[in-house]
Amino acid sequence: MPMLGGIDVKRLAGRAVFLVILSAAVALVVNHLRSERLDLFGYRAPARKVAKAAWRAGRPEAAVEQIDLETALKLHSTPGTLFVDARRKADFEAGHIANALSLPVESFDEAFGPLKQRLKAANSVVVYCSDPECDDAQELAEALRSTLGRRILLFSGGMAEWRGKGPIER
Amino acid sequence: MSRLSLKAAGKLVFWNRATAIAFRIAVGAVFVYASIDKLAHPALFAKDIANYRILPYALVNLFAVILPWTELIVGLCLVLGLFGDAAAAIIGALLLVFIAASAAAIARGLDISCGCFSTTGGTKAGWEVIIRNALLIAMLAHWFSFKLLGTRVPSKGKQHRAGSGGE
Repeated sequence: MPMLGGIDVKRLAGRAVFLVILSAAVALVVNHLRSERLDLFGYRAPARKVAKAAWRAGRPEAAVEQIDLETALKLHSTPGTLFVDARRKADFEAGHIANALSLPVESFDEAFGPLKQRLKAANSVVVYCSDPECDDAQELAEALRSTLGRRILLFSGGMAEWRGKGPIER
Repeated sequence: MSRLSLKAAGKLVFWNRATAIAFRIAVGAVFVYASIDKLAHPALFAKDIANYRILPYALVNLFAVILPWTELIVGLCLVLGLFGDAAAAIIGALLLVFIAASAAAIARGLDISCGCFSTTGGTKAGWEVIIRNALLIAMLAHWFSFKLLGTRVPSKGKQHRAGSGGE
């Protein structure tokens, strides 16, 4: 038997392989029995990957531009402006900037298709999420900028700044 | 205190069977604890893994399903002293992988949650994770080396029986 400093390497390796196989087997069985089972090879790429792919495809001409509350309010009353809410659907339904579209960044791949033409046709596209701390609007703005190849406005103040200053609908 | 007595005191506190077993159980318990939230929320854990941008996306879910169970089972083995050597080897390897992943995240400037104990935020992948994991490796190394060498250290004319019996 191969020994290394008093360790029976063969036995150790055999036990380690057994533990790994046991863990994998239990994991796969439990995953299979779960109601919310994960598709083992079906992880969905987040919007960031879509943005990266589009960037590589050669449409980096447009930029993401930050705007403040005052500009956002002005644009809101300007025809041809489209506000896009990057938060989850439930947050959107609980209250959003009036006339905004819901495009949750976490389900970008599914939600983007039906909105594509409206986003292309709009004079200005303004993206926002809950507050300056959230990353969803930034991520969505990057994804839209590169997939649509157009300038995207990022209202970083989000719902937190908008409340009490501009119209909200549910 | 003379040099000899310092050495003896160090041995009494640090190089003894109780400390080695306490380290083994502590590291095992950390892994059991780390697995719980991930077992409950594999989809969120998958997102944590994907955020490191190391694995191909096709393998992310597979790892998110298997890794927490591996942590739980080898952690339990280490706590119970069942297949302790093999469990320690797997945990040591996992800790090295976690350190490498955190180092990669730092090098690439990723601002991501480490996915260590919680799938909803928690510690960022960074130096804190590397230091903590290095400490866990040191604890494992202590137990393992005591198990191997403890019996060879003479004490008061007798030999320790460290590492034997249920480890």
